[in-house]
Amino acid sequence: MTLHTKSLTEELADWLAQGGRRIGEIVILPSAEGWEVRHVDDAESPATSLTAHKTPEAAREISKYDAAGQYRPLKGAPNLVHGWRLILDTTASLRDALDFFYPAALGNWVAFTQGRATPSPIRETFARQTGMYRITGLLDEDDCRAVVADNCAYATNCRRRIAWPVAAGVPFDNLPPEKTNLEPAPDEMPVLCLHACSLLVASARTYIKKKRAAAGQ
Amino acid sequence: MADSSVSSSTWRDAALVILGHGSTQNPDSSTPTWQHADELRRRGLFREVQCAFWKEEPGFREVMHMIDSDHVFVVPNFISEGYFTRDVLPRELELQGPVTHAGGRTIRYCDPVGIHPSMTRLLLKRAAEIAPGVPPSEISLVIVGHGTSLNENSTAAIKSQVELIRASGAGFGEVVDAYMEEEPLVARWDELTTAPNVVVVPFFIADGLHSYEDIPVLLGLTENSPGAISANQGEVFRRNPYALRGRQLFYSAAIGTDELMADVIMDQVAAAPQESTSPAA
Repeated sequence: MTLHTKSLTEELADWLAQGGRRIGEIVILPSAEGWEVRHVDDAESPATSLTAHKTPEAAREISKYDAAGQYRPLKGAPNLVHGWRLILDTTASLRDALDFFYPAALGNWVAFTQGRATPSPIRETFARQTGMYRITGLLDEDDCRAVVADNCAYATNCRRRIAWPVAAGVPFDNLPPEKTNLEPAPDEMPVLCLHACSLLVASARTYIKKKRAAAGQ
Repeated sequence: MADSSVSSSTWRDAALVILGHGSTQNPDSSTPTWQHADELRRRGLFREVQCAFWKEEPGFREVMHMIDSDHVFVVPNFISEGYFTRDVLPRELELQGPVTHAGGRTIRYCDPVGIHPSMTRLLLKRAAEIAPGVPPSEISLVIVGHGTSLNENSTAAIKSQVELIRASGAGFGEVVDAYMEEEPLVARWDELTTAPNVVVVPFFIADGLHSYEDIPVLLGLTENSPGAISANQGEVFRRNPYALRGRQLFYSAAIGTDELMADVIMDQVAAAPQESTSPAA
């Protein structure tokens, strides 16, 4: 039994053929060599003003630190550095590079749009934690709304768009629309968040410990 | 070792997924895992090779969306069996056992790299590289782990390696295990060893706070000055040998940074669990 009718590289090629150009903070431009990836703010910059790279792995290094030299464990953070261009000769190489800039974004989007991905409601994610994170199971629905609003802000913290509700049948009602809009502009592939990341789980732990301490528990 | 029913011809149509811990603080934590993945991609043994992490992206729950193959080998790049390999990874990958059939896919869950007997080969190589020209008979080899309940089986993995190296005929003056937070404490390295040369190898997957800073302080190589050492990071590995407590001490980077770890990953793939006799529909 074959899982997919098309490979992820073929899915990417289809998206590009239909005019797909943007993912998160990057833009993909057709070029004589194949494809050129840039920070979206550098789309109009003269090529000579940008540092050229030619391997997919360069994307891993470009996306590792922010402009201040701080480590970027969260690739959805809206602080991708400027000043580079990545020239790739095949769509397969482009796919590899995308998985370094926005890990799993292509696969998540394809699986989600094909109905093969089931996002975890945030309370389920917290409830299944064990060890030091087991305490996150104590967050109630309002706690979840507060933690997500504080930590996942689209404009300042993370460009992933959350596909999960607070609990089954309980959508978020306190987030700006871009955070939960899973179908942005036609030329943009949304960077989907199908399951809360470990940074959010860690923040939830800090939140509930503080709350319980304040309540004398 | 290699099994006839999980052969290299199967690998070429399969995905290899290497799982690491990763870190939101230490940018070097995932580096060895990526390097081993790059090396195995270059070898072209698999249709595709991906990594996933507990504390970095891609996460464990999304990595299966990143692959095209119907057959997947999952190798934990972890130093021992324990909480992560027994609880967290199976839960996050929604595994049903050693072999999982789900969504038209067959996923084989391999043992973590650190418990494979071929780790012995790496430790011997590392010891020879770090103290070139020093006869093994004049070396005390110290393999250092974390200890404590943080990882209940890391001590077992290290004790096993100590026995394997003693039995290997490599001819070290002595081979001992030591730990950061339990006896025998690495801080007492000079009491635990007798040879004039002491080679210390951290049994960790990646370099980080423990290998850059904590163990050097416990060994007495550096003062406890948080931040100062982190700023130089690998510098502590480049000042060998250290003349200390009447001995010559050689301090190694974490064993998991060795390029031969890619071969250990392959050894665990070759030892992958077998197809269950009655696969789920």
